[in-house]
Amino acid sequence: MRSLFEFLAKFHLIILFLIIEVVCFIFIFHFNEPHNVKYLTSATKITATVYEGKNVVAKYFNLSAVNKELSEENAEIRNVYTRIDNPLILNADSIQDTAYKQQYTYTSAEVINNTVIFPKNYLTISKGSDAGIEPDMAVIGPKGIVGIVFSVSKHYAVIMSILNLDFRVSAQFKKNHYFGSLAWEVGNARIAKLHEIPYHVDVKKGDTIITNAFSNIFPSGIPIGVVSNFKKSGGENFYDIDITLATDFKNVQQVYIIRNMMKHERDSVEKLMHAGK
Amino acid sequence: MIDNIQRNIIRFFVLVLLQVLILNNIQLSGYLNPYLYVLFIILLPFETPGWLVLILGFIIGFSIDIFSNTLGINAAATVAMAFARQHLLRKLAPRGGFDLNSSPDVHTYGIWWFFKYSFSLIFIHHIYLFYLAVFSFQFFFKTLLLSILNAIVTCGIIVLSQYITRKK
Repeated sequence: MRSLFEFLAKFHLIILFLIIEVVCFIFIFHFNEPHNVKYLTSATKITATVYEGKNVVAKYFNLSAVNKELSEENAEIRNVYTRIDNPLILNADSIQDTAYKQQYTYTSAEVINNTVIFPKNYLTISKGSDAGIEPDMAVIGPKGIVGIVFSVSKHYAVIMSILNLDFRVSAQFKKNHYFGSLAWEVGNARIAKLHEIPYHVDVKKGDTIITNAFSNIFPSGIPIGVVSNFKKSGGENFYDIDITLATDFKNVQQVYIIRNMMKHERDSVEKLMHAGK
Repeated sequence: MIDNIQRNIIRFFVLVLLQVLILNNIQLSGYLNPYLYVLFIILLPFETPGWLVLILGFIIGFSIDIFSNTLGINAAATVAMAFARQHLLRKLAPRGGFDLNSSPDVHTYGIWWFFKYSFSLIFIHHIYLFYLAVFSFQFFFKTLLLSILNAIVTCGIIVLSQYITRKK
C-alpha cells in the first residue's frame, strides 16, 4: 500500500496529465458526431450573449456591403416577381393547381459570429429552436450557399460552414448538369474543390456551379460558385477543379434557413429502398 | 495593490475575451492567427503547483473551445503545453534556481531566456493543436508549415505584449 502511494506521489503529474488528455479526446470524438452535440457549443447562453454583444458593435463595420448585397438580391427577386405578376401572361394561362404544394420555407437570421481560419469553421446565428430551426436544415446567404445547421439551442444555432473539412455537398454544372461532390480544403477561404468530374466534360473558367436535387437538404439551383481554375490531375480520370465560392465568408451577416417540408417523406421513401436492398 | 492571484484571474478573462472576440476573427496575410491565450499558462508564477497548472490549462483551453466550437481541441493542446512547462522550467532554471515569488517573465530573466521558454511552449501547443484540428495527416506538410508560421507570429506578439504591459 505504501509503495502505491509513493508511486502516485512520484507520477501524479503524468497520471493527471493522461487523465485530462483522455477526457479531452472523449470530448473531441463526441463532437465529431453532429447529432450528439447539444451543449457546449457557441450557441450556449453565455457564449452567444458575448458574441451578440460583440456583434452590436462589429456589424456596423460592413453595413454598406451587406446593404448592397441585400438590395441586389431584392432587385433579382423583383425581376422574377414582375414576370410572374404580369397580367398578360397570367390571365392567358392561369391554372388552379391543387396538386401544387410549397416545399421550402425560408427564415432569415443574423450571423453573430463567424470564423474562416480554422480547419473546421462554424457560424453562430441568433435564431434557434424557438424559431423552428432544426439540425440539418440548409443555410444560404444572398449570394449562394453557406452551410448546414449543426446544432441548436433555444434562441441560437450553430451552422457548419462550407469552410469545414466535414462539409460535403452534391454540386452540378448549371450548363450541362454534370455533377460532382464539393468539399473545402484548408487554407483559402474563397476556394473549394469540385471532385469527380470526368475528363470528357466540357469545363471552362467562369462556369457556374449550383446545388442539385440529389441533396435532401438544399433546394436545387442555388448558386455555389464559379470555376476559377481547372487542370487534369495526373493518374486519375477526374479534373482537379477550383471553385470560387459565391459567398464571401469574411462578410456574411444575413442568412436564410431553409426548411424542406418534404424531407421526412423523402427520407422514409429512400430508407425503404435501402432496406429492400 | 492587487496580488498575484487576482492579477492572474483578470489576465484569464482578458485573454479569453481577446482571443474569441478579436484574434479569432482576424487573419494576418491569409491564414495566420495568433493564439495569444497561451500567455496565461506561460506567465503563471513559479510557485503554482504542477497539478494546478494542468487544471488551469484545461480550463482556459476548454473556455476557448466552447466559444469556437472546437470542443476538446484547445483544451488538449493547452494541457500538453502545461505539462511540458514543468519539465522545461526544470531545464531552463538558472544556477541558483528561480525566485519563487516571481513569474517567468521577460523583465526578470531577460528577452533571450523568455524567447527560448515561450517559443518552446508555443511550438508544442501549436503542433498539437493544428494536427488535432485537422484530425488527419492528409495535409501533413501544409499543417506543419501552418503551425510553425503561427508559432512564430504568436511568439512575436507574446514577446511584444510583455513590453506593452510593462509594470512601472
